[in-house]
Amino acid sequence: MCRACDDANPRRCPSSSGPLRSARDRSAYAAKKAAGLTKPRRKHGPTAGHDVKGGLDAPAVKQPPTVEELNAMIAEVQHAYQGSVGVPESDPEAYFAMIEKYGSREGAVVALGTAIAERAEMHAGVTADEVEALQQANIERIKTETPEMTKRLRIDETRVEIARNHAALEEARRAGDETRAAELTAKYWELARVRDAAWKDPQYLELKELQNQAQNYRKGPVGDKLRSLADGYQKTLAEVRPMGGDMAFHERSTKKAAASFNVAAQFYPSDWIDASNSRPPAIAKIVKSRAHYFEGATQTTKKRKPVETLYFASADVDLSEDNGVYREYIPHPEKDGYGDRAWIRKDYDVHTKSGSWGTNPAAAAGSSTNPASPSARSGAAPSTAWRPSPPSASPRSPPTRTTPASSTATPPPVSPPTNSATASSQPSPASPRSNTNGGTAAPPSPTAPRRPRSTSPVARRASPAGPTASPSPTPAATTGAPPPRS
Amino acid sequence: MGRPAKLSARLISVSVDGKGAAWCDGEFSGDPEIIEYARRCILFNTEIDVMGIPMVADNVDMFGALAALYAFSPGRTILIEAPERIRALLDEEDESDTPEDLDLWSA
Repeated sequence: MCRACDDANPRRCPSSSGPLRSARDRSAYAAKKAAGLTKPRRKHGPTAGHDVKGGLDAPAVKQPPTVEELNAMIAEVQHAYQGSVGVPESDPEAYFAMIEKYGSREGAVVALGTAIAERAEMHAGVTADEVEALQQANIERIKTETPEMTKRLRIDETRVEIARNHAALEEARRAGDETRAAELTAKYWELARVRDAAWKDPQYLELKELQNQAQNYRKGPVGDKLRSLADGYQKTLAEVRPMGGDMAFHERSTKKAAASFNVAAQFYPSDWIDASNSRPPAIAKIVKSRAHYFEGATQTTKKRKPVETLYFASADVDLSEDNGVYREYIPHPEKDGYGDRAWIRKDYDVHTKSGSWGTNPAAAAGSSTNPASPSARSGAAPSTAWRPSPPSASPRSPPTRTTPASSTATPPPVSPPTNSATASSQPSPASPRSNTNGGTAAPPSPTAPRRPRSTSPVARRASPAGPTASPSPTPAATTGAPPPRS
Repeated sequence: MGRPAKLSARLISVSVDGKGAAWCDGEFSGDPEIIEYARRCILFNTEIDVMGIPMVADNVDMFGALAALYAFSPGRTILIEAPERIRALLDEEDESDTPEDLDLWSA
């Protein structure tokens, strides 16, 4: 609050002191004079002669520059600018010539931009000043005619009368005066007809359309002229420098976003687009939050793939017999198992929901397995898989029971196969196989199913004594190989 | 607003794209956008490159005021009116840009 307004403690407001006020006045005057001195004046152009009165003394309208003149001007300014920043093998004399001609470096760039604008306006057939004048005329017309139109069509009065009528109607209905309510209803329809007639008035609609065009620059004559100007600028810039091109986007880009960006990319120089395409492809997305861009960011695609495991088996064993919807054995094309045969096992995840790893294509096509069956969909292990015995059935064994023979003392319950999927994954009796460590294990018997690796918690629980309890654990206990046949 | 009877010796006026701004004895006037930008630069003591001369924006010092007025758009600012000291400084700087110096830079 200004203290000058405080009656209890009056004090002269510092803002009204003489020196400050004088300084403010001087600076305001100087600013006004500076703005007037450098007000941009358009000297030439296709329609610049409108303001010039004809006659013998009328100045000749300067024609816009040609492409050759523009290119020569660009080369001149570029050459001179290199001299100004001390580029090696540059010509300092050109810089001083440019300063003498244009006044400054900035003046040279402004003159070049003005030349480009003149040629762009020649292509467009309209100048920016004309578009601005047209828009301003529309705004002035709206400001002038809207009050007259509102008064002539009684728009405001009708609106007020309708509101009053509505209030009276509600009051009459609450009071139960049906006669009055019917009278007010009839009056409402009469007012509504007046209102609708005003809304459909041609001059009113024309004024409304003009108002919409003034608010949205893309519509109407102003929008068309602005579009012509934009096209003219693009055409002129393309004459002096290659413009446009196709951006290379990442494969996961949204098509709509990429198409939208390519429309805007036509206004960029071609060498910029080529430089962008030489980098890792960018990804175009449509986001609802703030858009962003990281320079040089590389897009990575994560696709779920089947888990591949390397297996070794004897040369006379064909693991592909165990192919099913869950797994597939493929002979390794390169690896040699030192006499054994190398296989690649692919574990599939069978789900119907999205994001699944997929089903073994060969098994899905030719196998009789139904992946949609409940047991197959659950992804559970086959019913013949090894399971630890329940605690009641196999109490904790003493440390001396860590031998393979003692492991087989409590055979796990074997349930019969429930479907074809489990049956197909059953190992054949004559198919000895090796584990992932490469060590050949003994062939499992048909009644003794395979045992999982010792690293699984189930296997560790099966041998609670562990290596500390057993002074010399057998290799079978440590590697988790299935017990030998009894 | 009439023309002041007495002209101050400490008066700087610039023009940016037809918009004028001026400083006189600590008072800025002119285009609101330029003035707002100048005041922000003064608040943060921003260093501005005025025609190759680094200056810190200031409200009291006329060189700082020149920097504040140039801060809005240094490349498009045209100096209209300035005290003799500022003109001498800028002219002196211009005189150093001789072809011989440029040769030294390029070497």
